[in-house]
Amino acid sequence: MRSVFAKEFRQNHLLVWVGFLLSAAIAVLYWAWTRNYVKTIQDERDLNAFCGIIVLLTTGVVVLVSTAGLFSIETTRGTLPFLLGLPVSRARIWLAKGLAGLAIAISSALLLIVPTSLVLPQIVKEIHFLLYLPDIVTGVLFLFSVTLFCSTVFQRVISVLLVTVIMLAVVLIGEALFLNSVAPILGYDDLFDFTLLSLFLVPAFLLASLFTFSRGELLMTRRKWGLAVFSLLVGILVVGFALYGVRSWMYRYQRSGVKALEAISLHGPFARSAVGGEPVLSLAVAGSPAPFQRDTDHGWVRGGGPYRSRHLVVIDLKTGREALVLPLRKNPGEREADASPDGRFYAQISQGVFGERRLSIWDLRSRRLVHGGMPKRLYGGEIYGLDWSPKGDFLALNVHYRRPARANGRGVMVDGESIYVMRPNGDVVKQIPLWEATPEREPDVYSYFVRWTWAPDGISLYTMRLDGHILRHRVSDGEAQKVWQPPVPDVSLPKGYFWWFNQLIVSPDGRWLVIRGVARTRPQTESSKNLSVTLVISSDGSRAVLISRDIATDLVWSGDRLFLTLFSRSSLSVHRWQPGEDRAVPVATLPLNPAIQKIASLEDGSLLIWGQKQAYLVDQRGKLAPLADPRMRNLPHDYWFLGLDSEGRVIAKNLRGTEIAAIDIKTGQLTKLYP
Amino acid sequence: MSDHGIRSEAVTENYAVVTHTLTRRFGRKLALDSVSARVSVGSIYGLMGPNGAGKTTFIRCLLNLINPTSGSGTVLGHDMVRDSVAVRRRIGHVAALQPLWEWMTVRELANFMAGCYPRWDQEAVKAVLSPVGIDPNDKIEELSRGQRTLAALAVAIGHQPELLLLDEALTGLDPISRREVLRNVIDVMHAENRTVLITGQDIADMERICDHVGFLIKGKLFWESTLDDLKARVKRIRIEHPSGPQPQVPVNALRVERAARETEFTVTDFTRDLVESLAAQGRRVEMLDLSLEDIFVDLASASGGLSAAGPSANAPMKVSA
Repeated sequence: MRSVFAKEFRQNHLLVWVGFLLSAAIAVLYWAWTRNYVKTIQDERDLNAFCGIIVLLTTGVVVLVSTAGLFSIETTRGTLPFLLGLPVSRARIWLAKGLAGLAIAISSALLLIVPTSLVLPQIVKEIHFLLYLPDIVTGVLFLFSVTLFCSTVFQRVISVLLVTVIMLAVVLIGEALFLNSVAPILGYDDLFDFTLLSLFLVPAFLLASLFTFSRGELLMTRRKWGLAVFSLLVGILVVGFALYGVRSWMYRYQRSGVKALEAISLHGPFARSAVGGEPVLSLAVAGSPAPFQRDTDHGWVRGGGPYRSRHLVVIDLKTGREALVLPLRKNPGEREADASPDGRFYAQISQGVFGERRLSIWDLRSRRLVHGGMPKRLYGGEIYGLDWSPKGDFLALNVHYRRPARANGRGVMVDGESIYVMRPNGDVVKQIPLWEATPEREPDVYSYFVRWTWAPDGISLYTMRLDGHILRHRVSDGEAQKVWQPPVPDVSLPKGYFWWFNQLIVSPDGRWLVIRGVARTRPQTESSKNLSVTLVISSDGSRAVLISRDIATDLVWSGDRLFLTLFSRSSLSVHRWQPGEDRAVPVATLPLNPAIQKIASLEDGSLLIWGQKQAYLVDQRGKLAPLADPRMRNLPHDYWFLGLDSEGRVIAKNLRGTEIAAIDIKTGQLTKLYP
Repeated sequence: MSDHGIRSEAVTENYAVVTHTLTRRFGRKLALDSVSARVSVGSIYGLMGPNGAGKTTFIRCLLNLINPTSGSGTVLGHDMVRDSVAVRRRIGHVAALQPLWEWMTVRELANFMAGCYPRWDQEAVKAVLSPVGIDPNDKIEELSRGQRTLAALAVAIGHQPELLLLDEALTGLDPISRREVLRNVIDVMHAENRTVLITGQDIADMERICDHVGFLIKGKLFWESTLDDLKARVKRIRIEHPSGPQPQVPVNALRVERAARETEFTVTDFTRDLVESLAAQGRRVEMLDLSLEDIFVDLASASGGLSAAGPSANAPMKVSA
């Protein structure tokens, strides 16, 4: 076997040097083409992208050519009978040749680092990142396995090359179809990423190649054809079933270890929008603490603390069935997830093992992945701040990008951020620019942090800079309209103080905007005082009312009334504001002890206050009373408020986090929903 | 072990190759048709047959380069399918105009082969290469066709094979090289009681070197015996009949040629009794010895192996050795 390996390596070693020269040529050409970009490369991901192209192109070509001839050239030149006449089993010959092909690929990949590092010295320092590139490693492995298979089947190198290219195209197309049909049902988008799908096919192709070579004829007979096709199908089935079995087992194993549930989002009924939708609840299973936490206006961000969640489960609250189950990785990648308000779609931003961000959108009715599942490098950077429009027909998210550009005749790297508005199928409708920065031209600090939220009409959205400048953007044409900017009425800022506004909420009727902010010095010192304000601004910006100077912990609109929870030293009070008033008035005061978790508006206009020890109801006249049913006096002891469903029931989880239940606040009846 | 098994083992001890109804189809074409052959240990077995008779297929089956459609066989006591690696470890094989890796030198080829076998005798390789003037440092691509065959032959015997399969290997060799091969390879193997199975079209050579022969025609083994036995049993008989009626010839006579005054035919089961019975009819009977080539032509013609027609009614019966 060693002799065969050495012979193969010697036979093809020229290709390594050809690959070396090829990579040198590609590196130089690529460098010449993008030298301004290359000069600005600082980020390792950019470095990888640059080197990745060279490595993938060159190694791919070397692997394709060297592997294509491994077996077919022996047939073409008539040396195959001589080789097979040796006292070495066919399996060993296949193995020796395969290893030699792999060694050639690795040699060429290592060798081509040299010319690449000449034009880009940083690569030597960051060389280990090349190995982490899944596209390259798995791409080369996949190419190798497909070519090896074709080489054992076909007799001419040109046939092998041709069929390999066709098969790659078929696999790519098949993968696209597969992703959209099977992957969402199995509920694991990452498994069916191209790279991972390729890895799944690698053993199938290798097994088929081995089987065809070991059992096949010398010549291309019909029997050999049948054997090749049969063994490939069997290989795919065997590997597929094995992977599926392993995944199912792991899934069951993980499910059996469910210890805690954390709610991620509750949508449809909770949104209480005009659009009637399917009520869905997404949960992180076995997670404590929650993998996602609400980040004021920017959707969901990953929660702090140890990350142990294993699955993300979307539950249909009507039936209690799982609409979608997405296994989560152990890395802190999964960062945002949210269902559309109509409960039709489910979107998730996740981070792959290799740091790439991806956006996946599922149709919960068909359980099909309608967008994504693959790394979305086209965004060029971070994506976050997922938020559905009120009707669920648009999805908006922040995109932080980096792009090469020319400024004053030289290459620079431009950082920027935009809001991308897209359809649920992933088509980008509009890009709303927020800011762009170059080393020479940086925007002011306020511009970097922009809060935004959808207007209730679902066709425009509001953005607010930290200094309080509010714009309204129309999705259809991106036109921006100025709404409001400081000064804050009735407040004169002391010298050296600046406004930091960090929350923007729109009333359900779209007539009012609520913003909360603090005024502080920069930098903050011990003597600095924070001035808190809550403002209500008319949507045309014509009127701004300072409704509170206290810290409001929770805000909720109920019809055209706004309820706020305000803390004082000894008590917690609920205030209400409605149009026409120039400040929020107290409607109820509670001792601090109830440790209010959440306030929520009910359909009849009353307000539900869910405390740890007792739940209260504030009626439309502002009267505060504990919930009537005696059972409700105990239930809040045991259940953590998550939201309200379309029937006005409280969706809550028990304090141990092992079950989700719906609680009828009028009767106190408790219905277990999950698991 | 069954009685049959014991007999089989006993049989294989004396034979380097034993096949049982070995059959191989290529689609509709029947390349080997129930071939049951036996090659005695230490013999030089010439497998003859016209083009397309199935000789190469037979050898490839022995090497397990192709699987038989049905039937079985043992080579040097090993099952030729199940123990093919063990078989190939003990045999050498050279095919007609053997293609080799042209980028190698002869030395590299020998080293490559040496790495594939547990033992290697470089002197045996030199013994073939030196007399014909092949330098081990010569590249294969620089060698003539005949020299390539010699190089292939040289490396095929480096591991001292107990059975050497020469598939038309002498084709293309000049007389001097052929003589060297015969002297340095085949004679040596024969002297060491090793076996050679050789196929080829040069029947004169075969007649000179083989002690056993088999005729493979259209995939069927029509004859298999020692060369002496073949020559003893296949005879040409001429009967003169100046005026009398045409003599009656045996029903299984081959290539019957009738002339006005004499009739000639070939018999495959010649015995003195046959001559005597023919002579008893009062005619002059002459028995003619046939060369191997004549026998080959007669057998092949009779079996339809040299024509588009099928086997004649008088095709010879297979004779077991």
